[in-house]
Amino acid sequence: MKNYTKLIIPFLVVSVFISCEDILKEDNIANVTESEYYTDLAGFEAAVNATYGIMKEFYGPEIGWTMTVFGTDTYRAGADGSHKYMARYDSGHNSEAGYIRDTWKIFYRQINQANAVVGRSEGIEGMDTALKTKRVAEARFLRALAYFNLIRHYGDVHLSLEETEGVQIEANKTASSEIYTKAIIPDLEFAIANLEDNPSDYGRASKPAAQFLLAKVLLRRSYTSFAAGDDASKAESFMSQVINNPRFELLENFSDIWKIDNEQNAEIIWSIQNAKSQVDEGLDDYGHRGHLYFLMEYDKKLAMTRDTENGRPWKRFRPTPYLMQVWDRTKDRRYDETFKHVWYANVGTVGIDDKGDNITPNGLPVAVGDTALYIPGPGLDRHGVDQDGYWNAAKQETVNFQVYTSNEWDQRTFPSLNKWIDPTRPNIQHTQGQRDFILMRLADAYLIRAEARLKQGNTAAAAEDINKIRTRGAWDGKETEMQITAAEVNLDMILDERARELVGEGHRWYDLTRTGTLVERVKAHNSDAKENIQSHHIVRPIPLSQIDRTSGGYEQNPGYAQ
Amino acid sequence: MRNLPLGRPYLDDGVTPRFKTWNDGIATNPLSEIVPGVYIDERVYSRIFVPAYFQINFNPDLIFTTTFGPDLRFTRRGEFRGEATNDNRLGPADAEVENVREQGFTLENLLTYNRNLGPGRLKLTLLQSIQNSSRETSKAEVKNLPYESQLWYNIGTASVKGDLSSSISEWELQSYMGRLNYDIDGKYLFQASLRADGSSRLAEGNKWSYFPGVSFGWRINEESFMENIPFNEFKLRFSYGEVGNTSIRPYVTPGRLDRTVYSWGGSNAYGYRLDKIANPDLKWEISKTLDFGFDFALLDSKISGTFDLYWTNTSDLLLERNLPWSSGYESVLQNVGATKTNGIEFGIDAVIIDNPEGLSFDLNFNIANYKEKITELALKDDNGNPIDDVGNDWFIGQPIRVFYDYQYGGIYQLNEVVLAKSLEGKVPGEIRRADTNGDGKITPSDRVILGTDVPDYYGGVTTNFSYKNWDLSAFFYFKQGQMINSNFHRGNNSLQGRYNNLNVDYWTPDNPNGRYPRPDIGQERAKDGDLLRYFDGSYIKLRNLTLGYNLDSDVASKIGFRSLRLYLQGQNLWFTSKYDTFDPEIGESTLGSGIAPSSSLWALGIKANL
Repeated sequence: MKNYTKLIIPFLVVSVFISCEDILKEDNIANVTESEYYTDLAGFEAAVNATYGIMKEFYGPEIGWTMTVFGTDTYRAGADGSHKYMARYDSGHNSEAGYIRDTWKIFYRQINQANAVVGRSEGIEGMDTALKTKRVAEARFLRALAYFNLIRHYGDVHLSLEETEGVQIEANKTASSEIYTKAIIPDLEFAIANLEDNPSDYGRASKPAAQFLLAKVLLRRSYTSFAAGDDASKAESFMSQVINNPRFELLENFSDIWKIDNEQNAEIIWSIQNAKSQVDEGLDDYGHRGHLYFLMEYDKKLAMTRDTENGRPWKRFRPTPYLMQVWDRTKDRRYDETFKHVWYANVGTVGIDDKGDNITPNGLPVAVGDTALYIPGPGLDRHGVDQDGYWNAAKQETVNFQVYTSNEWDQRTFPSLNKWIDPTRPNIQHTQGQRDFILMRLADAYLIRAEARLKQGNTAAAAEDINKIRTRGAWDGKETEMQITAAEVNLDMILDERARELVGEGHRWYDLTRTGTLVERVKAHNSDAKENIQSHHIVRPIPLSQIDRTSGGYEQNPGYAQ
Repeated sequence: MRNLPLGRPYLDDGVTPRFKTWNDGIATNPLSEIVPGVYIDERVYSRIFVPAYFQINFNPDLIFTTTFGPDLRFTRRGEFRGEATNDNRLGPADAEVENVREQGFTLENLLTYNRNLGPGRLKLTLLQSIQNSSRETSKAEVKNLPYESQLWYNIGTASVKGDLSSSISEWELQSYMGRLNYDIDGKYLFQASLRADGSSRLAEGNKWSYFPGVSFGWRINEESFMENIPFNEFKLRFSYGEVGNTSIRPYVTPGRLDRTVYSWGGSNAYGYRLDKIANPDLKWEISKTLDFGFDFALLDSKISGTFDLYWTNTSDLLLERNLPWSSGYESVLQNVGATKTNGIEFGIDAVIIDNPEGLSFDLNFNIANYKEKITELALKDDNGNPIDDVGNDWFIGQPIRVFYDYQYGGIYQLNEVVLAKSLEGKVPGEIRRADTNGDGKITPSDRVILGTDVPDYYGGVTTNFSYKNWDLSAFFYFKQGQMINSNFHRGNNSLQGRYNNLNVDYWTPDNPNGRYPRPDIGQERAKDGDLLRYFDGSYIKLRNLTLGYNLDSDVASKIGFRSLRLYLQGQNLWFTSKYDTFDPEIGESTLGSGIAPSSSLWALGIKANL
């Protein structure tokens, strides 16, 4: 017995030694928590960076495009996609729709992050006060943007300026008028007062970006029942500060704005950043995907196949007839520089039909590099030639490429926006593009100021702003013909001009809801939606999951099934 | 399976797969992926498991045992996708390689002491144990390989190679247990135990909990007053026990940040955003079970069986709870409520014919059911009574997992144009949701509990026949009354016409009674088509069938074996279910859209004793 005792003691000692409470302590090596990381300069900077990073989930992927392009007068649904309910205001446009939920989710996540930056800034030790104030101003700028997006989409929403502590299942429904006065406007005023004019880090929130945003905010409020009397004039003056800022100027050539190697140009006031290395290497799931959605199905045409240069055609957004007639192509260059006309053969001499048989256009030979596909575009071209007439059926039979005139356009074949084409992607399948998402550019500033001036009855000054944009948009030598007079300036004209200049840039749904023209313009111009759109569609439904998960429920927006 | 049946799978030579079977941007040919070398997914598993055992018999009644079981596993997964794959669609090849190292051990120190005490025998057991697990992973994903033959063995040469990841996850469980058994002549059996368990995964201060248990058994047939009953065994059992559950992922209590991506004019600006709220209160989920049962045997034990009734109260359920989005968070893992479960189990064994020289036949049958009810939730009304948590699909009085949705109400017919438009903005041929509350509108309050994943009853039947050297056994399993959510039907029933589709009875003006909506090339999914993915998942299946032949021992010994048995075994040979697509047992209550049906398997075996 005693012999054994000597043996057993080491076992017991080992057991007792390794079983004290300490060893059950979790050592969370791989991850960090807010309580240990958001404490010093590095952690605080990471929290600020995250406030920027979150909004990329909206700007760039399909959701952001869908929520701003669809359901307007300029675009209707193409052949593909699961979110046509946003285009059609049909039964799928309800509180359970995925994008209606995710838009809400993304911006509340961004707001909570911004709240954390603002709230925790006090406790960060050893950080330069001026730098801290600047970062807080950035977070407040982003918070204002998030709240502005929420009220534009949902109207009255939950307001919180404090970081969520613990499990929070209560939510308030605050009137959007209060969200302007309690959150958006004071945040932007603080941002204007404390942000740099030209931050050394390209892409950080800047003073002119805050001025631009506040101008848009005030202009929007000027249309509401709770407008302050000076909203339009203040909007004008903030925009004037942006326009007079020597850092910015209109590029000489409209098409230069979309050159992929010219992203940081003088017209860009503020853009959401994407880095080529991050999107190419799969580190960033939220790159610029605008190159996917506006393209027609060129890859099923004769002598064509998908390639990186022509893009992956997801055919989500198809232009409305209204959009197709908005340019006078004889003097305005912007249709021709916004849409793609020619595709060159990339699969040799043949195409394959649905049965897999080889065919060529009109039985004529095609070589790689030859024109394979031509979309002449609407109406008269630059030289005054009626395109539908010129490319009549008889003419089409004489060429070794396919031509689609406006009467031949459908859900799969339509003029394709080329603003976002990204041939620099590493391969054809790659969905994340490297372009920055242009949220604010100078042409928009001029048009917003024109609208603010019109709101104050100053059509002459409005015409000046609009002519700035139209002069740049004219063909060489047609500048004079492009000028408009003060008498021609009205809201419809400005909205048409915004379509000509800013189409496909993610502004349209906001433009129409701001100006109260959504329902009337959709009914007039959008055959997909005109039967379905109703007055309550000027805001989205509150997501059902928000209603279900909130203690005591959450009030649905008027007109939607509670 | 989604390939269009009208497509042409091969080139004109009839052998080489065409990459696209028909002209569609995203249509690729699965046959081109099974060409050797085009798509490779290779997983290599290595495991070292060396349990060691050490025992000291101080005397026949006092025994100390240590068991140490280190377990080391390595997994390497290499994936290569060539150009002609659905992933790359003739773009350059990509590859990834992942290494996983899992190491863990269990250590158990067990001391048992036996002695006679009074009229019976006492057994004392003391146990101390540790269970420890650590899992490390590292993974690299690259794109645009310069040449395909390298697979994943030279990924540094790829032109796109920034996607690296690694992780570590560790947890530990510690236990102390003391148990006392007292047995009087095998007639009265008593046991009491107490264990203390500590889990690293729970919050500081809540890591440890105590779990008592007692049980009592009484062989009533051995009592003198029971001498005349026909039972040769009749044992009453009673037990009460508490057990804890801590099977959650590690690192929940401290909360978590998640990395975000941004850049300043092209230079990286990664950040860390709030992702998971800390939960400093996380504690054990505890189930308390009271069980009453009996075992019996009749007719020289030719018929025997067991019967149990039990009641389980589970409190502090560990569940992921959805939060309102406006909080900035999505969900939190919490101790959210309590359930009451009661169940009944019955099993019987019968030797019907017992003739070692000729035909023998025996039968085993068992059946069980349980009811589960939520009794407590985190949400309370003003009087403190628990109320339904709709946002999580948890309802007082219902099981935890219910399917809460709109009810399928048929298809709008041609003469219902106005109704279809006014009620739901739909057109004839589309699915009608049922107005369950009869208010003349379709609103979220028309959602109802359609069913649960709790079956009405389940069990099995095993039969064994033997005749001379032959034997045949069959095992049937059945489960009835549970609902399943078939995402397989969601994914493969788009009725769009772009892909192949399940063969369903869809509506057309000429087929007004079709259950499924009209096909529509203009949408990737039928509106509310999700309502047609709930099925009665009841099934009966033949899980196993074995036919065996035992060589006579003299024959076997002639060829050098002590015994030799040949058998043919089949698995999953037959099933019947209202869910007629495939064997519904494959998944849990939710079947994935790309799920592979369970496979039928035949095996031919030899069992030899030397």
